[in-house]
Amino acid sequence: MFTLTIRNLVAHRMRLAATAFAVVLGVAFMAGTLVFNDTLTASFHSIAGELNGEADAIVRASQPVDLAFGQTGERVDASLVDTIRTVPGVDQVATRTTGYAQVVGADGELVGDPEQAPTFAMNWVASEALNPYRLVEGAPPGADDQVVIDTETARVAGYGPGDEVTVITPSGPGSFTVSGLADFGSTGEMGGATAVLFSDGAATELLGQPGLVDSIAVTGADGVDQAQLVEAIARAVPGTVEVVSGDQVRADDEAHFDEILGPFKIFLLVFAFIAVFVGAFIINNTFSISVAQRTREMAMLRAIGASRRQVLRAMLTEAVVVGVVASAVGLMVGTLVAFGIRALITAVGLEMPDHALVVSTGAMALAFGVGVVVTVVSAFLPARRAGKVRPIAALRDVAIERVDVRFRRMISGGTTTAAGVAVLLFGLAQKEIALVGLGALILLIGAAVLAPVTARPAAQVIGVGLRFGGLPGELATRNAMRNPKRTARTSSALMIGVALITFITVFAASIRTSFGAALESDFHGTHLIDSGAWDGSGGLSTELAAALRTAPGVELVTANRVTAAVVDGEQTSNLEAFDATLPTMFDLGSIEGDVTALGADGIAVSEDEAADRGWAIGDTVAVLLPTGPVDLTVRAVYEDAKWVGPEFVDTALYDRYLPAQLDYRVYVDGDDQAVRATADRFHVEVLDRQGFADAVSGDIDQMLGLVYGLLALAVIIALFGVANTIALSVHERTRELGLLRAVGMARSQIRRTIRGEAVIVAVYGATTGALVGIFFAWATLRALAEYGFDDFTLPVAKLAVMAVVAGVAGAGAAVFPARRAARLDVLEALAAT
Amino acid sequence: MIETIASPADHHAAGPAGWEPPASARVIDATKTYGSGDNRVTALDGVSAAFATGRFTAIMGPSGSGKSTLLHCLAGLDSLTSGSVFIGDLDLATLDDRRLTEVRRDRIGFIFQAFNLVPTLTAAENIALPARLAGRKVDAGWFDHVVATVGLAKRLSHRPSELSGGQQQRVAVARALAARPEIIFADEPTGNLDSRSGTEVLTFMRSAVHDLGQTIVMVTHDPVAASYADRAVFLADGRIVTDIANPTADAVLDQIRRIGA
Repeated sequence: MFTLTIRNLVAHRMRLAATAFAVVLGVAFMAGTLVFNDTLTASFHSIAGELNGEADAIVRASQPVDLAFGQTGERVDASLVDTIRTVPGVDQVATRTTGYAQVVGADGELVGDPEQAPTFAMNWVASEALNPYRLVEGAPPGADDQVVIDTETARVAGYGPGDEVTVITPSGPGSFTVSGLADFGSTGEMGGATAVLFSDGAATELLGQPGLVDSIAVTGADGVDQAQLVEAIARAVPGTVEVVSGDQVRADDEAHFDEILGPFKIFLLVFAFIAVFVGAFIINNTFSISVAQRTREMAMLRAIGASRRQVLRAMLTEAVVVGVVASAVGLMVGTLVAFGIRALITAVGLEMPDHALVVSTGAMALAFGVGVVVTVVSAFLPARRAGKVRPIAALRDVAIERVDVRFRRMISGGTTTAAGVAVLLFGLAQKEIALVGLGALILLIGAAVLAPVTARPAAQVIGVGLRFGGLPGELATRNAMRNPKRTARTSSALMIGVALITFITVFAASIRTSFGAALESDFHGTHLIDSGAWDGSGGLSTELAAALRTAPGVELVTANRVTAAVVDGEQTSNLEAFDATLPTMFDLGSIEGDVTALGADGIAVSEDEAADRGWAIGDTVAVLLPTGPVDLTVRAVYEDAKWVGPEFVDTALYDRYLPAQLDYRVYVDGDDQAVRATADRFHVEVLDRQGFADAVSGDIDQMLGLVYGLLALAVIIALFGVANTIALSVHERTRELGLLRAVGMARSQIRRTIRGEAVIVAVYGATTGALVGIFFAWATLRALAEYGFDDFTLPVAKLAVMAVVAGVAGAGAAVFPARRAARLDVLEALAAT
Repeated sequence: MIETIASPADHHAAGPAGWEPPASARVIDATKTYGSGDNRVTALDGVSAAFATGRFTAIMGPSGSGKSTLLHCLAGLDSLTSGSVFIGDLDLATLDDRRLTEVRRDRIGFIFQAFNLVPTLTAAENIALPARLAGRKVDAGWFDHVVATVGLAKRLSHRPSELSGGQQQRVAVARALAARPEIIFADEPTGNLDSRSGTEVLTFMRSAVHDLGQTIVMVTHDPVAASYADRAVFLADGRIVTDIANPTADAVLDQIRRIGA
């Protein structure tokens, strides 16, 4: 039987090529994503490995809260350096003072974007072993008014050694001379981050506090291992500081990067999963059609004595061979896909560090395994059907797939769909987004099971649009209705892709509308100045808000700060702080208590958060700040959380407990000229109300661009499925096509018939997909209603364009099968079996 | 041999003036070869013949005699290596695929041995197919007349899969007739039928010729089928060997024995 399988594979190269293509694309996307993710991890790990130079030990204040890079906790006494130098085994010692700084380019624009990657500032470390930066041109900062900047910043800013440069630090803008250029680590690759390196004195003055440093880095003498060194230093320094081994710090930094990258990597893998899922439909469909077309052959084999198991095994062997070969090809293509993902991510404006592709055996094995398993599993049901073919079928005339849609399918499909909707709605009620997702998946599968039931009437309805073309349109409709299972399976693959695209489109449109409406009704100011440093790793000098407050023509200024913290046991990267002007600047809905009187020991919480955690006014909430624990009293409960988050504190609290003071955002109500004049002095960008809305729109568009790009592959795979099915149908109907040609059907009419069928399949898939996607979007928005995303918006024009594109793409997918059908030799076609 | 045995119409086929009866289709010195070199096979070897309007002609011959090739070339489904085919005054060799398709659609009717009907269309739709392909309305009176003649009035809304083999062939005959083509070509139309259904179909074909004035050319190897025709042309090795007027089954059998098929 194995010989037969191989002969079959060779004989039906075309059909197999199409199946294999679905596997190749799915595996390639999977492998590409894994390679990209591994590369991303490796590049950030290499950055983590060099952040602290060759330090064997780091002395720093204990860190109760996970901090983002650039965030600072408590500082340590600079005089500890002298103590540490005397510890036996210590070789070199250096203090480190880090913070935030941005260079103003020659064009007046700030270089770097804290929203994307950190904008580091640090003192220039004299010890080469402990300096993460390497001087490539000029000299280290020899005076407090000199800086070293990284070569990429220098290139973008248009500066070189000797140039005068304005640098923005937490202390405001200052004038410096570039003394030299440096590169980070061994490769100079920082993933879009920028660096400004000051003299020790300037760093302390601009970034830190007198007499204090962020940390002290130490290298051990030859032959001293890290554990011994850490132990020796710990004995010498006070218990309030911690001593951590260099390896530990590097491991922590790696873990920290992993944590940041984790959701993004999963996000990419989800799309790889979708591509494989869509591919599975295509594989299943192709094998089903193939089995149907070979019913006679199977029956003949059974008639001459092949057992059911032998027939089943032959089919499965075929699937394994296809799976193995296609997955192997997919792995090779995967490397290209990894480049493609990188190009896509760069194209939507996200920065990625450069790094040689990391192709790990594990990732390859995983993608390969998934490819083979999905192929074989998808082929199993058709293979079993092949095994069930009865010998008598060999004697029957036509071998066309069974087309009856059973009642049982309506029941099981209906039940699955209903269950999906139920789980989804239950998830909404419970506010469990995971349940909502599970419900969505079940609903998609239910819709796929139900699809054959509705395929026939749907084809009839869609076909009405084609009837104007006369007989070809009518025949196309009849052909699409002929085998509803085939039509449904083919369109289901497309349905999934379109459902997700529709979902994201409707969702984004709704968020845009919601945000616009909220901005209109809730924001009473005129301008926003946004540092983009949402995690508190950078920000705006507090001098800016101070200057605005005293500027003539400015009515109201609300400064907003942010820090990492642990609130009631839950880590958050952004616990926000506002001043007492907040309720004047924003409408927070109904407020219980007084949000203007939180003081340095109070906290305000949203109604939903209060309900979830069981908090009421007067309750105590334990909060861990980067500098230590504080107990806060709930002083106010507010309704609307979308501007301020689930809880916030007063700026007074940060003033008391946190060292570096930077504003994340400053909201202003004032005269346009006055606001801009002041902001210009600080080299910051001002957004008016329209600019604010545009900025949010821009972020949404960036996300949309990325998601569209990643979903495009799933849609392409589905379109190949359409092409494949149509090609196989054409093959199956060769004789019928010959007859039509003989009695006078023109080639153009044949082509229109074939393309029409593909259009019906595509429009059916796109329509069901759009309906499912709209439902998903509605459901998700209901789940997010408490965050203010409650304006369900249908971008009708956009959806209509998508429907047309789906139809055109469907017709496009059928171009080759249609051409082949039209070129059939009439006599040969008539003689076909 | 060809010259002596060819029908009278044959001599006048090449002539300029219309002779009685006029020919709906003619082949002149038709040669068809397949392959090249040692594998070269000659299917038609200088065949000339004319098929008179309003007559029912049977083309007979053993397997490999070239009878199907002749029919295919006459019907514009295949092209000659040399020689010409005329449908009416139209030289098929001068037509491109599009024009040839139009000729098949508008001027020729077909009845094949099997698989004559489009499975997704009803009997009525199959009958109207050539007209629909041309974007024309079917002449309702003629349609009803044809359907009544073929006895299909009650089966019009059935799909081919719901019809018996004989009924399917009758639908095929009705389709061929419905378009009022200049000539109908039938390729073993009864080859897949039992004798009763075959008789039915042949009777309809003959009545179409005699009552409706249709011209039919039919390829068959069945002497009984040939006996329904007005004339039987015998092919062997790509040449016309005999031409019998008003053949009976016995006369045809005799001839077959003589050819040695």
